[in-house]
Amino acid sequence: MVTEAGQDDLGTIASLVLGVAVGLILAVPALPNEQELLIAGVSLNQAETVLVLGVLAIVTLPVVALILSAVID
Amino acid sequence: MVTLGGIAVGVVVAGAALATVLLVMQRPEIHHETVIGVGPWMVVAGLLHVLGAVGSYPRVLRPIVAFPIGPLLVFLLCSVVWVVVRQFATVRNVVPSSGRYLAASGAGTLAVLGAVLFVLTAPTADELLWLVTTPVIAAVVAGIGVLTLGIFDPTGLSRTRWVGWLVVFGFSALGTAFAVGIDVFGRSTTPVVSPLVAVGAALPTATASVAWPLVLVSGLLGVLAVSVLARVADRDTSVGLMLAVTLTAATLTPAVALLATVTLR
Repeated sequence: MVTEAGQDDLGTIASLVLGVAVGLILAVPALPNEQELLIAGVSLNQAETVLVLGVLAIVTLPVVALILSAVID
Repeated sequence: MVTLGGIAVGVVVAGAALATVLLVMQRPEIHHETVIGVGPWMVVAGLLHVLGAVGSYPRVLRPIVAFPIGPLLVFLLCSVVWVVVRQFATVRNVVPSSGRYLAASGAGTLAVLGAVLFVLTAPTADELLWLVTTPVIAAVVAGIGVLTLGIFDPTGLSRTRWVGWLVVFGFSALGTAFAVGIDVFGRSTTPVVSPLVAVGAALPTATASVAWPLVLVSGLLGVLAVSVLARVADRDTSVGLMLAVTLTAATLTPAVALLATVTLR
């Protein structure tokens, strides 16, 4: 039996995770290598910035998924 | 002499061509939701161009993130992600939900790119205000345009529905971004838009805005495009929807790049 279209939550989450990975691949080379970035008053190097962005993206995933479900369905 | 940047451009162009061939071979079904789902990726292509200008990309990568190669790179990545997730659905014996996959992956990429761009440019409150209000204005103009189309061409609206709104939004976003750039941020006009700005400057409303005719004309062009699109979709739905994707990408991506360039200086 084949699951109906529009109910594939696992596929949607996999797409989001892949999208975040693509975003990190595209954006990380744009970050300055030598100088540190100031985010919310805290000085971060490139690796720490990537970590913060990755965590933020994962935290926002459920919210984005909910909005997407509402819009697409 | 062939540079590393030239090789990178060649790889992206070849990859985009290969992705096109792969998609043609796979012949995935294109629905209205598929077209809407590509929207976030069009925004990604526009933001990537701006990130290429303000970011610290190595010299070899700069040509492939800026126009005109940047959108090809985004198309390549979007296609790869789409094909992978569709195959993942097939393996799990699930009917692929293309619109959701495209929208979800595009939103994920957009979230990261947007965050990095914000960190690098540190926009002021004024810049943020226009960054948010410009697409809202464009969305309202597109809504009015599509509703007007429904009065004069009800069949056109029923054939295109949200895709029609997205196409008009692409056009109105470009016009609104130009108008905000000229009226708010004092950008110089280009030969294409200067006749309309001259009209705006001759009107009594010139004290408030000289570039508002751009918003009006871009909205009207969008409505006209949707009306033609509906006729094409009536004969061949897939061709009509592919045309809708192309038209929206050709207007929305430069609109995002222009808006981000003028606001995140």
